[in-house]
Amino acid sequence: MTDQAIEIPQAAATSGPSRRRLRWPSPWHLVLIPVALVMVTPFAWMVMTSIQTPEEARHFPPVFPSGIHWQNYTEALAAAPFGRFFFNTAIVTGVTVLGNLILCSLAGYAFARFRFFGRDVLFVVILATLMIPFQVVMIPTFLIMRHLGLIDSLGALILPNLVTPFGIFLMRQFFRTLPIELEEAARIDGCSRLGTLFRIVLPLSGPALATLAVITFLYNWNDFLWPLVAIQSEEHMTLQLGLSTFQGAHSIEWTLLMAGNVMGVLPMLLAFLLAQRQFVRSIASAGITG
Amino acid sequence: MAEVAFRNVTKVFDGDVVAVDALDHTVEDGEFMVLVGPSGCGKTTALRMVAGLERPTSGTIEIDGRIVNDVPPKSRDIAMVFQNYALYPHMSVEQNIAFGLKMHGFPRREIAGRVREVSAMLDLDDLLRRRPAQLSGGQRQRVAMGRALARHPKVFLLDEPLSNLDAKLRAQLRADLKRLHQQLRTTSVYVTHDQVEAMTLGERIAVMSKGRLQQVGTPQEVYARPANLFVAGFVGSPPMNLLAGRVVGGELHVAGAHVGSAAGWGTADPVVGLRPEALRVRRDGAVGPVISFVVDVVEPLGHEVVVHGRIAGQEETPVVARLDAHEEPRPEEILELTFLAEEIHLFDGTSGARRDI
Repeated sequence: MTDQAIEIPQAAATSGPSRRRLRWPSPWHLVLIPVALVMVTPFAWMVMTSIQTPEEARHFPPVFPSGIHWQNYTEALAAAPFGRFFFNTAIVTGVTVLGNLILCSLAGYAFARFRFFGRDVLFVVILATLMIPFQVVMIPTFLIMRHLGLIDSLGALILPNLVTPFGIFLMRQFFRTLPIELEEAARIDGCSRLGTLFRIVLPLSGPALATLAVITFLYNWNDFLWPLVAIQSEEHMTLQLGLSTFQGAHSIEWTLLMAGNVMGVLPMLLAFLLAQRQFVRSIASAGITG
Repeated sequence: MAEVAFRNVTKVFDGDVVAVDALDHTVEDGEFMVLVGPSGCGKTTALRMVAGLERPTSGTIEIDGRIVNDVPPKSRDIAMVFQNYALYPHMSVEQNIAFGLKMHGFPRREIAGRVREVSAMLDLDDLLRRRPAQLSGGQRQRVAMGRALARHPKVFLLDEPLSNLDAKLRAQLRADLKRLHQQLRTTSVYVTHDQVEAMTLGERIAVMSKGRLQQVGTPQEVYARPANLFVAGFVGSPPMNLLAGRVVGGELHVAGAHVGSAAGWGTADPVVGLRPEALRVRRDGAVGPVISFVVDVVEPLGHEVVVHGRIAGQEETPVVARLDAHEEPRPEEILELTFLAEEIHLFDGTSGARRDI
């Protein structure tokens, strides 16, 4: 027993944007501003290219666009069934995010709190799979998917990513930091093990769940290699795969590609901003001091 | 209302750590029983076995005559207050109190009624909408009590519920707890390492050490007749003085003083226990055993002084005496202390068990 009152682990106290105050530049800005520039440049370049004419886009060093050429967007939308790509990507990403949140929580909780034979060995084995690069398991995964009759369907993109070792690891580590007395109190109060997970543990795991959701979302939204292997028909292509059709063997239509990229990035930005707000909220509600 | 019984209960952790060793003990119906002992003595493990959070390695635990070894915590009709309160941080005070009732399928109206009842009893009305994070330590403790009370359980289990509070609040809540128990008469098992808490709260106290039950009795019994050296040294503040005694020719001597006849003791050297309050300054002409006492440190408490010192000529034997405030002893002063022969406790030097002669 500790003699500390219960404390929920939390990130450093975050004040909302309204409370943020302007401060005088600190020496840190000498480092932070160049780093931020490095991060922003490709992004700005992408947005710029997407509104340039093809001639301007070929120019190096880049020049400012002569005007906003929205037609790049309409042409990109017309050149490929973007709506379809969007829909496919959204389905794959949505289902894998949901699958990871539920399945990694269940598995992580079992590893964190249950005592069963071979638990630690099994956990190490699962961790070890993190060290295997995807390229190594790509062909076996393909064979399994083909055996299941899922090749060239969205199922082939969803099933292998439905639960990830990293997600299990992340959730287990977080669950272990929660005070076990809460779960014991819940068991005495009448919760089953599963009830304890869903009513007590998960509501307190907002930061970990948000992190897992963002990581899963980014990975699946941006995944290119596996869809390239698993999907052949245009009807089942994801956004990243669809964008690659702008890269021909001899020429690349940069303006259309970048217009497509901007459209592909937007949902990710949105997801990140939403999750960020969720981060702050869950931290605020879990804020407890002894 | 229920009786809680440990029948030869042993709990072994990780194959070799014996936390509770052959515990045989019954908490009577409606009784307030305190399990007390130093940390690691197995008292919390014993409590957790009643709660169903640990399973006995052997032996049985009975609640209300029913063996509960295989009964899950939720079906034992118990409620527990944890040391760190274990309030659900994401729920309001009201939801915290109602949670157990909701899980046990009580109708909504009944739940609302019980929340009102405990909130009136514990003065929580103004706090119901707050989250645990917005409460002070004492308020959290009351909410934790309320959560347990709302269930109307057969047995209350309390695991050091006051140890995270400051001394003043602790004293106040101790009295509240006692009043609450007198009102409800629910069987309660209370775990603490603080012997003052044990003495003040317990109708009976069970002293444990190293997984074994040392003595069970009312606070007065345990204080007046400690069963062995461990209990003698643990119960009482300041603790009992334990001095090496000698029996020569059937006469008992301790610290240079002749106490009296020890016929029937034998020849082994006893340990002589003397409560600090048994010692007093000898008046001129008084008869009785005399100890020469060198004063080291004086702690005035207003109504009395606690004097730490040593026996003259036996530097390594510390002795504590509680004397009248008007004695005003000074450091390095030599006092002649006396005591009544019937106020000594005798313990076997090897086994440590109490022996009366």
